[in-house]
Amino acid sequence: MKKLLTVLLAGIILSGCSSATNQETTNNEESSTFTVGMECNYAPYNWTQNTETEFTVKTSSVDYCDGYDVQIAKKIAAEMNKELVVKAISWDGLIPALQNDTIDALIGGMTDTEERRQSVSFSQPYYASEMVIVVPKDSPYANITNIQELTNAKVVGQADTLYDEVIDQIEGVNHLTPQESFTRAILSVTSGEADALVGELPAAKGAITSDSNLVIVRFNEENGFKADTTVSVAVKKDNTELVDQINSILENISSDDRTQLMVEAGERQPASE
Amino acid sequence: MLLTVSSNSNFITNCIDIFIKYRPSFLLGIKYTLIIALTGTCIGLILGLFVGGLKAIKVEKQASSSVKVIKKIYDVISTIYIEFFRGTPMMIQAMFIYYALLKVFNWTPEVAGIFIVSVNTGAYMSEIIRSGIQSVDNGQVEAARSLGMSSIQTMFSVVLPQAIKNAFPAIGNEFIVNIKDSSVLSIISVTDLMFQTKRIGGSTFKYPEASFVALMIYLVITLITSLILRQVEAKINHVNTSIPQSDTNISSINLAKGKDK
Repeated sequence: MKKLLTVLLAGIILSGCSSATNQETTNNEESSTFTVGMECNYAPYNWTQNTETEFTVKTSSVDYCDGYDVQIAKKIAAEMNKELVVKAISWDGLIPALQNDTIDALIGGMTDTEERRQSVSFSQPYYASEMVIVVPKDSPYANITNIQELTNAKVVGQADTLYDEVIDQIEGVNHLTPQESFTRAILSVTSGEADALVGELPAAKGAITSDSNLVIVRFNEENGFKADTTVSVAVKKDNTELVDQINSILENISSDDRTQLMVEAGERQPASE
Repeated sequence: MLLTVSSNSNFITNCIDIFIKYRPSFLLGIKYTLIIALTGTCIGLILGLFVGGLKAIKVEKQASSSVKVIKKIYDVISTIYIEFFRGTPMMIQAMFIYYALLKVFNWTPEVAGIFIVSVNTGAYMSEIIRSGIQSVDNGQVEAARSLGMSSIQTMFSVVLPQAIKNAFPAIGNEFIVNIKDSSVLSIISVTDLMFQTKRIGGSTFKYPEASFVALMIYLVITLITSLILRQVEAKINHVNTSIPQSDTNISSINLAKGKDK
Protein backbone atom coordinates (compact mmCIF):
# COMPACT_ATOMS: atom_id res chain seq x y z
CA MET A 1 0.00 0.00 0.00
CA LYS A 2 2.80 2.35 1.01
CA LYS A 3 4.71 1.53 -2.18
CA LEU A 4 1.63 2.13 -4.25
CA LEU A 5 1.07 5.49 -2.61
CA THR A 6 4.71 6.50 -3.15
CA VAL A 7 4.49 5.58 -6.83
CA LEU A 8 1.25 7.52 -7.22
CA LEU A 9 2.62 10.55 -5.42
CA ALA A 10 5.78 10.48 -7.54
CA GLY A 11 3.62 10.29 -10.65
CA ILE A 12 1.53 13.23 -9.58
CA ILE A 13 4.55 15.36 -8.74
CA LEU A 14 6.23 14.42 -12.03
CA SER A 15 3.14 15.21 -14.09
CA GLY A 16 2.85 18.50 -12.23
CA CYS A 17 6.46 19.33 -13.00
CA SER A 18 6.23 18.47 -16.67
CA SER A 19 3.20 20.65 -17.15
CA ALA A 20 4.89 23.43 -15.23
CA THR A 21 7.87 23.32 -17.59
CA ASN A 22 5.53 23.37 -20.60
CA GLN A 23 3.99 26.53 -19.28
CA GLU A 24 7.37 28.15 -18.81
CA THR A 25 8.51 27.49 -22.35
CA THR A 26 5.38 29.12 -23.77
CA ASN A 27 6.06 32.18 -21.67
CA ASN A 28 9.67 32.46 -22.74
CA GLU A 29 8.77 32.11 -26.38
CA GLU A 30 6.13 34.79 -26.15
CA SER A 31 8.28 37.40 -27.82
CA SER A 32 9.11 35.25 -30.85
CA THR A 33 5.68 33.69 -31.38
CA PHE A 34 2.27 34.91 -32.46
CA THR A 35 -0.37 32.90 -30.59
CA VAL A 36 -3.79 32.77 -32.20
CA GLY A 37 -6.95 31.29 -30.72
CA MET A 38 -9.79 29.67 -32.68
CA GLU A 39 -12.33 26.88 -32.19
CA CYS A 40 -10.83 24.51 -34.79
CA ASN A 41 -14.36 23.23 -35.37
CA TYR A 42 -15.90 25.88 -37.63
CA ALA A 43 -15.16 24.70 -41.16
CA PRO A 44 -14.21 26.22 -43.55
CA TYR A 45 -12.88 29.00 -41.29
CA ASN A 46 -11.05 26.58 -39.02
CA TRP A 47 -11.13 22.83 -38.60
CA THR A 48 -9.12 19.92 -37.20
CA GLN A 49 -7.47 17.10 -39.09
CA ASN A 50 -4.86 14.45 -38.26
CA THR A 51 -2.69 14.82 -41.34
CA GLU A 52 -0.03 17.45 -41.76
CA THR A 53 -0.04 19.51 -44.96
CA GLU A 54 1.62 22.74 -46.07
CA PHE A 55 -1.53 24.57 -44.92
CA THR A 56 -1.84 23.14 -41.40
CA VAL A 57 -0.59 24.28 -38.01
CA LYS A 58 -0.08 21.82 -35.17
CA THR A 59 -2.39 22.38 -32.18
CA SER A 60 -1.51 19.32 -30.11
CA SER A 61 0.77 16.30 -30.47
CA VAL A 62 -1.61 14.80 -33.05
CA ASP A 63 -4.06 17.49 -34.14
CA TYR A 64 -3.50 19.87 -37.04
CA CYS A 65 -5.64 22.91 -37.71
CA ASP A 66 -6.38 24.27 -41.18
CA GLY A 67 -8.89 26.65 -42.72
CA TYR A 68 -9.32 30.23 -43.93
CA ASP A 69 -8.50 31.66 -40.48
CA VAL A 70 -5.28 29.63 -40.30
CA GLN A 71 -4.15 30.95 -43.70
CA ILE A 72 -4.84 34.55 -42.63
CA ALA A 73 -3.03 33.92 -39.33
CA LYS A 74 -0.07 32.49 -41.26
CA LYS A 75 0.15 35.59 -43.44
CA ILE A 76 0.03 37.88 -40.41
CA ALA A 77 2.65 35.88 -38.51
CA ALA A 78 4.93 35.78 -41.56
CA GLU A 79 4.75 39.57 -41.95
CA MET A 80 5.53 39.98 -38.26
CA ASN A 81 8.49 37.58 -38.55
CA LYS A 82 7.05 35.48 -35.77
CA GLU A 83 6.33 31.81 -35.43
CA LEU A 84 2.59 31.04 -35.57
CA VAL A 85 1.07 29.08 -32.67
CA VAL A 86 -2.58 28.06 -32.88
CA LYS A 87 -4.58 27.19 -29.76
CA ALA A 88 -7.89 25.34 -29.98
CA ILE A 89 -10.27 27.00 -27.54
CA SER A 90 -14.06 26.64 -27.28
CA TRP A 91 -16.11 29.65 -28.46
CA ASP A 92 -17.03 30.82 -24.93
CA GLY A 93 -13.40 30.71 -23.90
CA LEU A 94 -11.94 32.77 -26.76
CA ILE A 95 -12.53 36.28 -25.38
CA PRO A 96 -11.46 35.31 -21.82
CA ALA A 97 -8.29 33.81 -23.36
CA LEU A 98 -7.50 37.17 -24.98
CA GLN A 99 -8.12 39.02 -21.74
CA ASN A 100 -5.86 36.63 -19.83
CA ASP A 101 -3.01 36.84 -22.38
CA THR A 102 -3.33 33.15 -23.19
CA ILE A 103 -3.50 34.21 -26.85
CA ASP A 104 -2.28 37.31 -28.71
CA ALA A 105 -5.11 37.41 -31.24
CA LEU A 106 -8.43 35.77 -31.95
CA ILE A 107 -8.89 34.84 -35.60
CA GLY A 108 -11.99 32.67 -35.44
CA GLY A 109 -14.66 34.05 -37.71
CA MET A 110 -15.82 36.61 -35.15
CA THR A 111 -17.79 39.69 -36.21
CA ASP A 112 -16.95 43.10 -34.80
CA THR A 113 -19.90 44.20 -32.63
CA GLU A 114 -20.45 47.07 -30.22
CA GLU A 115 -21.05 44.61 -27.39
CA ARG A 116 -17.80 42.71 -27.96
CA ARG A 117 -15.89 46.00 -28.26
CA GLN A 118 -16.53 46.48 -24.54
CA SER A 119 -14.07 43.64 -23.89
CA VAL A 120 -11.76 43.42 -26.92
CA SER A 121 -10.47 45.53 -29.82
CA PHE A 122 -11.08 44.61 -33.47
CA SER A 123 -9.05 44.99 -36.65
CA GLN A 124 -10.49 45.78 -40.08
CA PRO A 125 -12.58 42.89 -41.49
CA TYR A 126 -10.57 40.03 -43.04
CA TYR A 127 -13.54 38.46 -44.78
CA ALA A 128 -16.99 39.62 -45.85
CA SER A 129 -19.67 37.02 -46.12
CA GLU A 130 -23.40 36.75 -46.58
CA MET A 131 -26.15 35.62 -44.23
CA VAL A 132 -28.16 32.68 -45.47
CA ILE A 133 -30.48 30.04 -44.09
CA VAL A 134 -30.06 26.28 -44.36
CA VAL A 135 -33.18 24.11 -44.69
CA PRO A 136 -33.96 20.51 -45.70
CA LYS A 137 -34.38 20.04 -49.46
CA ASP A 138 -38.07 19.10 -49.15
CA SER A 139 -38.85 21.94 -46.75
CA PRO A 140 -41.68 24.40 -47.56
CA TYR A 141 -39.10 27.12 -46.92
CA ALA A 142 -36.63 25.89 -49.57
CA ASN A 143 -37.80 28.43 -52.19
CA ILE A 144 -38.57 31.53 -50.14
CA THR A 145 -37.16 34.90 -51.17
CA ASN A 146 -37.90 37.00 -48.10
CA ILE A 147 -36.89 36.25 -44.52
CA GLN A 148 -40.34 37.37 -43.38
CA GLU A 149 -41.78 34.21 -44.97
CA LEU A 150 -40.26 32.34 -42.02
CA THR A 151 -43.03 33.58 -39.70
CA ASN A 152 -43.99 30.82 -37.26
CA ALA A 153 -41.04 28.70 -38.38
CA LYS A 154 -38.67 27.24 -35.80
CA VAL A 155 -35.30 28.91 -36.46
CA VAL A 156 -32.01 28.19 -34.72
CA GLY A 157 -28.50 29.72 -34.61
CA GLN A 158 -25.18 29.37 -32.78
CA ALA A 159 -25.11 30.80 -29.26
CA ASP A 160 -23.38 34.17 -28.72
CA THR A 161 -23.14 34.85 -32.46
CA LEU A 162 -24.69 37.42 -34.74
CA TYR A 163 -26.47 34.62 -36.61
CA ASP A 164 -28.53 34.01 -33.52
CA GLU A 165 -29.30 37.68 -32.89
CA VAL A 166 -30.60 38.37 -36.42
CA ILE A 167 -33.26 35.67 -36.09
CA ASP A 168 -35.37 38.19 -34.21
CA GLN A 169 -35.60 40.30 -37.40
CA ILE A 170 -38.15 37.76 -38.62
CA GLU A 171 -41.54 38.79 -37.31
CA GLY A 172 -43.44 36.16 -35.34
CA VAL A 173 -40.59 33.68 -35.55
CA ASN A 174 -40.21 30.78 -33.15
CA HIS A 175 -36.64 31.55 -32.07
CA LEU A 176 -35.24 28.33 -30.63
CA THR A 177 -32.62 28.14 -27.89
CA PRO A 178 -29.27 28.64 -29.65
CA GLN A 179 -26.84 25.73 -29.97
CA GLU A 180 -23.27 25.81 -28.71
CA SER A 181 -21.65 25.27 -32.12
CA PHE A 182 -22.55 25.71 -35.78
CA THR A 183 -22.44 21.96 -36.48
CA ARG A 184 -24.67 21.30 -33.52
CA ALA A 185 -27.16 23.81 -34.99
CA ILE A 186 -27.11 21.90 -38.29
CA LEU A 187 -28.01 18.78 -36.36
CA SER A 188 -31.11 20.62 -35.11
CA VAL A 189 -32.22 21.07 -38.72
CA THR A 190 -31.40 17.52 -39.90
CA SER A 191 -33.14 16.01 -36.89
CA GLY A 192 -36.29 18.11 -37.40
CA GLU A 193 -35.84 19.99 -34.14
CA ALA A 194 -35.65 23.23 -36.15
CA ASP A 195 -37.08 24.24 -39.54
CA ALA A 196 -34.20 26.47 -40.53
CA LEU A 197 -30.75 27.56 -39.43
CA VAL A 198 -29.21 30.98 -39.88
CA GLY A 199 -25.53 31.00 -40.75
CA GLU A 200 -23.04 32.47 -43.13
CA LEU A 201 -22.35 31.30 -46.64
CA PRO A 202 -18.93 29.54 -46.37
CA ALA A 203 -19.93 27.51 -43.32
CA ALA A 204 -23.34 26.72 -44.83
CA LYS A 205 -21.64 25.48 -48.00
CA GLY A 206 -19.60 23.10 -45.88
CA ALA A 207 -22.77 21.82 -44.25
CA ILE A 208 -24.49 21.02 -47.53
CA THR A 209 -21.40 19.24 -48.90
CA SER A 210 -21.56 16.85 -45.97
CA ASP A 211 -25.34 16.35 -46.12
CA SER A 212 -26.98 16.33 -49.57
CA ASN A 213 -30.45 16.61 -48.03
CA LEU A 214 -29.81 20.23 -47.10
CA VAL A 215 -30.05 23.33 -49.27
CA ILE A 216 -28.98 26.94 -48.84
CA VAL A 217 -31.49 29.77 -49.29
CA ARG A 218 -29.98 33.14 -50.22
CA PHE A 219 -31.75 36.50 -50.09
CA ASN A 220 -31.17 39.78 -51.87
CA GLU A 221 -30.06 42.75 -49.83
CA GLU A 222 -33.56 44.16 -49.45
CA ASN A 223 -35.31 41.01 -48.23
CA GLY A 224 -32.44 39.46 -46.27
CA PHE A 225 -31.12 39.92 -42.75
CA LYS A 226 -29.89 43.38 -41.90
CA ALA A 227 -26.53 42.73 -40.31
CA ASP A 228 -22.80 43.12 -40.54
CA THR A 229 -21.44 39.89 -42.02
CA THR A 230 -17.77 40.67 -41.90
CA VAL A 231 -15.32 38.90 -39.64
CA SER A 232 -12.40 40.62 -37.92
CA VAL A 233 -9.32 39.81 -35.91
CA ALA A 234 -9.78 40.50 -32.21
CA VAL A 235 -6.93 41.48 -29.88
CA LYS A 236 -6.71 42.49 -26.25
CA LYS A 237 -8.66 45.67 -25.55
CA ASP A 238 -6.79 48.89 -26.34
CA ASN A 239 -3.76 47.15 -27.85
CA THR A 240 -3.82 49.71 -30.69
CA GLU A 241 -0.25 48.94 -31.69
CA LEU A 242 -1.14 45.35 -32.60
CA VAL A 243 -4.41 46.42 -34.27
CA ASP A 244 -2.49 48.87 -36.51
CA GLN A 245 0.11 46.26 -37.33
CA ILE A 246 -2.57 43.68 -38.26
CA ASN A 247 -4.55 46.24 -40.27
CA SER A 248 -1.55 47.17 -42.38
CA ILE A 249 -0.93 43.48 -43.12
CA LEU A 250 -4.60 42.83 -43.95
CA GLU A 251 -4.60 45.80 -46.35
CA ASN A 252 -2.17 43.91 -48.55
CA ILE A 253 -4.47 40.89 -48.91
CA SER A 254 -6.78 41.87 -51.78
CA SER A 255 -10.43 40.84 -51.89
CA ASP A 256 -9.63 38.53 -54.83
CA ASP A 257 -6.98 36.84 -52.71
CA ARG A 258 -9.49 36.48 -49.89
CA THR A 259 -12.11 34.90 -52.13
CA GLN A 260 -9.47 32.58 -53.54
CA LEU A 261 -8.30 31.55 -50.04
CA MET A 262 -11.89 30.83 -48.98
CA VAL A 263 -12.63 28.76 -52.11
CA GLU A 264 -9.47 26.74 -51.53
CA ALA A 265 -10.30 26.25 -47.86
CA GLY A 266 -13.79 25.09 -48.84
CA GLU A 267 -12.25 22.51 -51.16
CA ARG A 268 -9.77 21.25 -48.55
CA GLN A 269 -12.23 20.92 -45.66
CA PRO A 270 -12.81 17.35 -44.39
CA ALA A 271 -16.50 17.38 -45.39
CA SER A 272 -15.55 17.82 -49.06
CA GLU A 273 -13.69 14.53 -49.28
CA MET B 1 -32.83 12.07 -33.71
CA LEU B 2 -33.41 8.32 -33.68
CA LEU B 3 -35.26 8.62 -36.97
CA THR B 4 -32.33 10.36 -38.62
CA VAL B 5 -29.99 7.72 -37.31
CA SER B 6 -32.03 4.76 -38.51
CA SER B 7 -32.98 6.30 -41.85
CA ASN B 8 -29.32 6.85 -42.60
CA SER B 9 -28.04 3.40 -43.49
CA ASN B 10 -24.51 4.76 -43.73
CA PHE B 11 -24.45 5.70 -40.06
CA ILE B 12 -22.24 2.85 -38.84
CA THR B 13 -19.93 3.12 -41.86
CA ASN B 14 -19.57 6.86 -41.19
CA CYS B 15 -18.76 6.17 -37.55
CA ILE B 16 -16.04 3.70 -38.52
CA ASP B 17 -14.66 6.15 -41.11
CA ILE B 18 -14.53 8.96 -38.57
CA PHE B 19 -12.86 6.74 -35.99
CA ILE B 20 -10.21 5.58 -38.46
CA LYS B 21 -9.57 9.05 -39.86
CA TYR B 22 -9.43 10.81 -36.49
CA ARG B 23 -7.95 7.98 -34.42
CA PRO B 24 -4.95 10.04 -33.19
CA SER B 25 -7.29 12.82 -32.01
CA PHE B 26 -9.53 10.36 -30.19
CA LEU B 27 -6.49 8.66 -28.62
CA LEU B 28 -5.15 12.00 -27.37
CA GLY B 29 -8.57 12.71 -25.89
CA ILE B 30 -8.61 9.31 -24.17
CA LYS B 31 -5.12 9.98 -22.80
CA TYR B 32 -6.13 13.28 -21.19
CA THR B 33 -9.44 11.90 -19.92
CA LEU B 34 -7.61 9.04 -18.20
CA ILE B 35 -4.79 11.21 -16.82
CA ILE B 36 -7.28 13.71 -15.38
CA ALA B 37 -9.61 11.06 -13.97
CA LEU B 38 -6.77 9.01 -12.44
CA THR B 39 -4.70 11.82 -10.89
CA GLY B 40 -7.88 13.65 -9.89
CA THR B 41 -9.21 10.58 -8.09
CA CYS B 42 -5.86 9.88 -6.37
CA ILE B 43 -5.34 13.45 -5.15
CA GLY B 44 -9.04 13.56 -4.23
CA LEU B 45 -8.62 10.38 -2.18
CA ILE B 46 -5.64 11.81 -0.30
CA LEU B 47 -7.59 15.03 0.32
CA GLY B 48 -10.62 13.01 1.43
CA LEU B 49 -8.50 10.91 3.81
CA PHE B 50 -7.24 14.01 5.58
CA VAL B 51 -10.43 16.04 5.51
CA GLY B 52 -12.76 13.13 6.30
CA GLY B 53 -10.31 11.47 8.73
CA LEU B 54 -9.71 14.63 10.75
CA LYS B 55 -13.41 15.40 10.70
CA ALA B 56 -14.30 12.03 12.20
CA ILE B 57 -11.82 12.35 15.11
CA LYS B 58 -13.58 13.14 18.36
CA VAL B 59 -11.83 15.52 20.69
CA GLU B 60 -11.21 14.07 24.15
CA LYS B 61 -13.15 15.57 27.01
CA GLN B 62 -9.98 16.43 28.92
CA ALA B 63 -8.38 18.16 25.92
CA SER B 64 -7.42 21.79 26.36
CA SER B 65 -9.94 24.40 25.29
CA SER B 66 -7.67 25.64 22.49
CA VAL B 67 -7.69 22.17 20.90
CA LYS B 68 -11.48 22.18 21.13
CA VAL B 69 -11.70 25.61 19.47
CA ILE B 70 -9.32 24.59 16.66
CA LYS B 71 -11.37 21.46 16.04
CA LYS B 72 -14.58 23.50 15.97
CA ILE B 73 -13.11 25.92 13.40
CA TYR B 74 -11.80 22.98 11.35
CA ASP B 75 -15.24 21.34 11.37
CA VAL B 76 -16.89 24.50 10.09
CA ILE B 77 -14.32 25.03 7.31
CA SER B 78 -14.38 21.40 6.18
CA THR B 79 -18.19 21.39 6.13
CA ILE B 80 -18.22 24.52 3.97
CA TYR B 81 -15.67 22.92 1.61
CA ILE B 82 -17.63 19.67 1.31
CA GLU B 83 -21.04 21.27 0.90
CA PHE B 84 -19.80 23.86 -1.62
CA PHE B 85 -18.15 21.36 -3.97
CA ARG B 86 -20.89 18.74 -3.62
CA GLY B 87 -23.65 21.27 -4.02
CA THR B 88 -22.50 23.10 -7.18
CA PRO B 89 -22.02 21.78 -10.74
CA MET B 90 -18.43 20.91 -11.65
CA MET B 91 -18.84 22.64 -15.03
CA ILE B 92 -19.40 26.03 -13.40
CA GLN B 93 -16.67 25.36 -10.82
CA ALA B 94 -14.32 24.71 -13.76
CA MET B 95 -15.26 27.93 -15.54
CA PHE B 96 -14.99 30.00 -12.39
CA ILE B 97 -11.83 28.51 -10.86
CA TYR B 98 -9.89 28.29 -14.14
CA TYR B 99 -10.30 31.96 -15.02
CA ALA B 100 -10.23 33.26 -11.44
CA LEU B 101 -6.86 31.66 -10.70
CA LEU B 102 -5.34 31.97 -14.19
CA LYS B 103 -3.44 35.13 -13.25
CA VAL B 104 -2.20 33.57 -10.01
CA PHE B 105 -0.94 30.19 -11.27
CA ASN B 106 -0.68 30.87 -15.02
CA TRP B 107 -1.81 27.27 -15.48
CA THR B 108 -2.76 25.26 -18.54
CA PRO B 109 -6.37 24.07 -18.85
CA GLU B 110 -5.14 20.51 -18.23
CA VAL B 111 -3.51 21.36 -14.88
CA ALA B 112 -6.57 23.41 -13.93
CA GLY B 113 -8.72 20.41 -14.90
CA ILE B 114 -6.77 18.09 -12.60
CA PHE B 115 -7.05 20.65 -9.79
CA ILE B 116 -10.82 21.01 -10.22
CA VAL B 117 -11.47 17.26 -10.42
CA SER B 118 -9.23 16.78 -7.36
CA VAL B 119 -10.95 19.27 -5.08
CA ASN B 120 -14.34 18.13 -6.31
CA THR B 121 -13.52 14.46 -5.72
CA GLY B 122 -11.95 15.41 -2.38
CA ALA B 123 -15.33 16.66 -1.18
CA TYR B 124 -17.08 13.43 -2.15
CA MET B 125 -14.20 11.29 -0.82
CA SER B 126 -14.39 13.05 2.56
CA GLU B 127 -17.95 11.84 2.93
CA ILE B 128 -17.08 8.37 1.61
CA ILE B 129 -14.20 8.08 4.08
CA ARG B 130 -16.36 9.42 6.91
CA SER B 131 -19.00 6.75 6.27
CA GLY B 132 -16.21 4.18 5.93
CA ILE B 133 -14.93 5.24 9.34
CA GLN B 134 -18.38 4.94 10.83
CA SER B 135 -18.56 1.37 9.52
CA VAL B 136 -15.54 0.38 11.64
CA ASP B 137 -16.69 -1.16 14.90
CA ASN B 138 -16.30 1.12 17.89
CA GLY B 139 -14.63 -1.71 19.81
CA GLN B 140 -11.57 -1.24 17.60
CA VAL B 141 -11.25 2.36 18.74
CA GLU B 142 -11.73 1.39 22.37
CA ALA B 143 -9.10 -1.33 22.06
CA ALA B 144 -6.62 1.05 20.45
CA ARG B 145 -7.27 3.73 23.05
CA SER B 146 -6.87 1.25 25.92
CA LEU B 147 -3.47 0.35 24.46
CA GLY B 148 -2.52 3.99 24.96
CA MET B 149 -2.79 5.26 21.41
CA SER B 150 -3.83 8.88 20.93
CA SER B 151 -6.99 9.65 19.00
CA ILE B 152 -4.95 10.75 15.95
CA GLN B 153 -2.83 7.56 16.10
CA THR B 154 -5.99 5.48 16.44
CA MET B 155 -7.52 7.19 13.44
CA PHE B 156 -4.58 6.87 11.07
CA SER B 157 -3.20 3.45 12.00
CA VAL B 158 -6.27 1.50 13.15
CA VAL B 159 -9.49 2.98 11.83
CA LEU B 160 -8.51 4.45 8.44
CA PRO B 161 -6.92 1.31 6.91
CA GLN B 162 -10.12 -0.60 7.64
CA ALA B 163 -12.30 2.31 6.55
CA ILE B 164 -10.52 2.44 3.16
CA LYS B 165 -11.04 -1.27 2.71
CA ASN B 166 -14.75 -0.95 3.50
CA ALA B 167 -15.12 2.10 1.30
CA PHE B 168 -13.18 0.65 -1.65
CA PRO B 169 -16.23 0.02 -3.87
CA ALA B 170 -17.37 3.63 -3.37
CA ILE B 171 -13.84 4.94 -4.05
CA GLY B 172 -13.65 2.92 -7.28
CA ASN B 173 -17.05 4.19 -8.27
CA GLU B 174 -15.79 7.75 -7.83
CA PHE B 175 -13.01 6.96 -10.37
CA ILE B 176 -15.57 5.76 -12.92
CA VAL B 177 -17.70 8.85 -12.29
CA ASN B 178 -14.61 11.00 -12.90
CA ILE B 179 -13.89 9.32 -16.24
CA LYS B 180 -17.34 10.36 -17.40
CA ASP B 181 -17.73 13.69 -15.61
CA SER B 182 -14.35 15.05 -16.66
CA SER B 183 -16.12 15.63 -19.99
CA VAL B 184 -17.54 18.88 -18.57
CA LEU B 185 -13.97 20.25 -18.53
CA SER B 186 -14.19 20.72 -22.29
CA ILE B 187 -15.78 24.07 -21.35
CA ILE B 188 -12.31 25.35 -20.40
CA SER B 189 -10.79 23.72 -23.52
CA VAL B 190 -9.09 20.78 -21.81
CA THR B 191 -8.25 18.47 -24.74
CA ASP B 192 -10.13 15.55 -23.23
CA LEU B 193 -12.25 13.06 -25.17
CA MET B 194 -15.30 15.34 -25.14
CA PHE B 195 -13.38 18.36 -26.48
CA GLN B 196 -11.80 16.24 -29.22
CA THR B 197 -15.24 14.85 -30.13
CA LYS B 198 -16.63 18.37 -30.51
CA ARG B 199 -13.70 19.33 -32.72
CA ILE B 200 -14.07 16.26 -34.91
CA GLY B 201 -17.84 16.73 -35.17
CA GLY B 202 -17.37 20.38 -36.10
CA SER B 203 -14.66 19.70 -38.65
CA THR B 204 -16.53 16.95 -40.50
CA PHE B 205 -20.11 18.19 -39.95
CA LYS B 206 -20.83 14.69 -38.62
CA TYR B 207 -21.86 15.37 -35.04
CA PRO B 208 -24.03 12.28 -34.39
CA GLU B 209 -21.34 9.94 -35.70
CA ALA B 210 -18.55 11.58 -33.68
CA SER B 211 -20.72 11.50 -30.54
CA PHE B 212 -21.55 7.84 -31.08
CA VAL B 213 -17.86 6.94 -31.42
CA ALA B 214 -17.14 8.88 -28.20
CA LEU B 215 -20.00 7.11 -26.39
CA MET B 216 -18.56 3.74 -27.36
CA ILE B 217 -15.07 4.78 -26.25
CA TYR B 218 -16.37 5.97 -22.86
CA LEU B 219 -18.31 2.73 -22.47
CA VAL B 220 -15.28 0.54 -23.24
CA ILE B 221 -13.10 2.52 -20.82
CA THR B 222 -15.61 2.34 -17.96
CA LEU B 223 -16.31 -1.36 -18.56
CA ILE B 224 -12.60 -2.20 -18.46
CA THR B 225 -12.14 -0.01 -15.37
CA SER B 226 -14.97 -1.64 -13.44
CA LEU B 227 -13.58 -5.05 -14.38
CA ILE B 228 -10.17 -4.12 -12.99
CA LEU B 229 -11.72 -2.57 -9.87
CA ARG B 230 -13.72 -5.74 -9.23
CA GLN B 231 -10.51 -7.82 -9.45
CA VAL B 232 -8.74 -5.52 -7.00
CA GLU B 233 -11.72 -5.62 -4.66
CA ALA B 234 -11.74 -9.44 -4.70
CA LYS B 235 -8.01 -9.44 -3.93
CA ILE B 236 -8.42 -7.04 -0.98
CA ASN B 237 -11.19 -9.14 0.49
CA HIS B 238 -9.10 -12.31 0.22
CA VAL B 239 -6.28 -11.05 2.39
CA ASN B 240 -7.03 -12.84 5.61
CA THR B 241 -5.64 -10.76 8.40
CA SER B 242 -6.83 -12.96 11.26
CA ILE B 243 -4.25 -15.75 10.73
CA PRO B 244 -1.58 -15.43 13.41
CA GLN B 245 1.79 -14.63 11.90
CA SER B 246 5.23 -14.68 13.44
CA ASP B 247 6.62 -11.22 13.69
CA THR B 248 10.41 -11.28 13.91
CA ASN B 249 10.87 -7.58 13.49
CA ILE B 250 13.46 -6.43 16.04
CA SER B 251 11.34 -3.56 17.24
CA SER B 252 8.37 -5.87 17.78
CA ILE B 253 10.51 -8.24 19.84
CA ASN B 254 11.78 -5.37 21.92
CA LEU B 255 8.25 -4.15 22.37
CA ALA B 256 7.16 -7.57 23.54
CA LYS B 257 10.08 -7.75 25.96
CA GLY B 258 9.12 -4.37 27.30
CA LYS B 259 12.37 -2.81 26.13
CA ASP B 260 10.66 -0.31 23.92
CA LYS B 261 12.77 2.56 25.13
